[in-house]
Amino acid sequence: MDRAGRDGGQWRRLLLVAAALASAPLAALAMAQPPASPAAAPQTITPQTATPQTITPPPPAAAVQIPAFSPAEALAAVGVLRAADQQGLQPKAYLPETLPADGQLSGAQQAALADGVLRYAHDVRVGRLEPGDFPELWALRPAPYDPRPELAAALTENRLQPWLDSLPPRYAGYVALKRGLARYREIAAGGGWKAIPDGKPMALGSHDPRVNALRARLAAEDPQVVAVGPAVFDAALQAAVQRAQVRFGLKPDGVVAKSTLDALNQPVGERVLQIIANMERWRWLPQAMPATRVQVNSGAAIVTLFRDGKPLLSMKAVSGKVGDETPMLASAIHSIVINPPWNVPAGIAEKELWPKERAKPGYLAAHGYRVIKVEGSAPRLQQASGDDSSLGRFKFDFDNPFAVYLHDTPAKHGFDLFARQASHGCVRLEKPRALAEALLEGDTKWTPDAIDTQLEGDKTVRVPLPEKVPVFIMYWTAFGGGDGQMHFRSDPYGWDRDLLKLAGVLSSAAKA
Amino acid sequence: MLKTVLWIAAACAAVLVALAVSRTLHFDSTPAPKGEVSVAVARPAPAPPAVHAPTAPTAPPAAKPPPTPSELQVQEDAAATGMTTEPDAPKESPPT
Repeated sequence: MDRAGRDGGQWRRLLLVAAALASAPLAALAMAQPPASPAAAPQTITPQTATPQTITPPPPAAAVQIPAFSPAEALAAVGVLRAADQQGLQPKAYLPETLPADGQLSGAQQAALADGVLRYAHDVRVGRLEPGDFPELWALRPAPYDPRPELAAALTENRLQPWLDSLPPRYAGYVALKRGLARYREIAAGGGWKAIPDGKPMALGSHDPRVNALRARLAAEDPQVVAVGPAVFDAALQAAVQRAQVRFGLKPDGVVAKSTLDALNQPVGERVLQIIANMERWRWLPQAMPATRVQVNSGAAIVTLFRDGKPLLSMKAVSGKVGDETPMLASAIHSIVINPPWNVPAGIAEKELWPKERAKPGYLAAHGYRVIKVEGSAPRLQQASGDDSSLGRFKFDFDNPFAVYLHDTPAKHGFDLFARQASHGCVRLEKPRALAEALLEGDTKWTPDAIDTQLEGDKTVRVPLPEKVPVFIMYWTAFGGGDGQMHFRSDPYGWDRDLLKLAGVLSSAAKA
Repeated sequence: MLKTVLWIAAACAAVLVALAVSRTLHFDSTPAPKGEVSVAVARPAPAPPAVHAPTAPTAPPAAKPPPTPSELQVQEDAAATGMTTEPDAPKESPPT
């Protein structure tokens, strides 16, 4: 620093200090002021006298008038309705019988077209099931949707085509199914595939007359397979079989035994229907999914945690067996129970546990159950927390009317199976600890070390999540895989067929 | 007595505030030498690079490492549980 600058700075600083000293008495005077007079005190707010008001009911909503379609709009709407099959819907359900090719519609034709567009909009947005059609276990249902105001606005604002284009689900999973539907219809139009006759298992090195049929069958779906080749089961064919087994959720051992043969021999029409059923389910989801959520597919028994819209963690699961199907639902995980005891549902106690106790007295005590007497009703059972608890070490609670939850399990061997529908309806998790840590990330109290400490004993503790994490339990049996191919599962609950019947699709299955 | 104490305290506080303010104003800092500025202004601007002048090769963006088997498995499982967005799809810009 040069001397002139330093000297100037010191002078300016001295002047500022002097000014401050001069102002100090003023500050002291201000402090010496007597307290503010009551007159200066904040005014008290006198309550306003409420004017008595008569509550008048709102006027009934005026019926939305649909403006007339211009000829161009009529043609655009007809084009979309004709293409409804691309969305897994049936065009004839929406298209008026006769419409002039130039789009000049009479009054009756205007009304018929508006009616068809409204029904299409409803069906492609929220599906074909009415609220009363949903079975109890299909508790994931779309919000009510009335497309009439939207159609009126679209016609008024000259944006009919964009509105029609915006109606189908915009999720990647739906778009993949739409692509798959077009592809499997093409395969069907080309004659589909022929069933491979039953016989001994085929594996690498097999000289089986069915090898050529197998090769042709695999080539129908897998672009890597050449339909014609040697009549011996070679390594390339084995790899193709393994890829197919992955697509069907089977053990990829490369051996064509009964389960693989059954999957391969599903007619292409069945695959088309399966895709249509799953497209319908996508319409039940909210228009926007929360970026952080847990998704369960009970059909494939897989769980994924999404964070910021991207999959962060996934694991195998065990979902409910036939008769104890895991319900479809949407809820939010609010807490994790570490070292949970199991309050045995009365049905399970009656049907499974008490008979074991009667057959072998001491069974309940040996497995950590205690009997809790309940006045006026049958005693209930509770299994103590610990390594042998049926709920394992973690339980993820969310509100739902079915009393199901996600939980750990001591029966880890269940995850080695490829058909994992074996529970009483709850969802058993392969990696509950990883899910717990991910959901508690950022919680300064429940660090991994703190969880470890808690797990050293059997003491039960409920850990509320800082923020609830939405959970969606769905039932997907067809989906686009990361390999660009369609993947299918076996419809373990038979819900695809139920849905197709309820949606009125199965009667026209051949046409679909 | 109380008034006196308050008076002195107020005076001290004012002095302290004034000192603090003076520090933030950087009275001691060296002003930028004017000569240098004028020299910089007078200095001829560098010739703009030729339009077709070869630019120094920039390092290509680091290739994204291939996904690990476990990452691939997560993607596969996510597809099975219902993907709502394409993997690695760019986020849509909010509507304006």
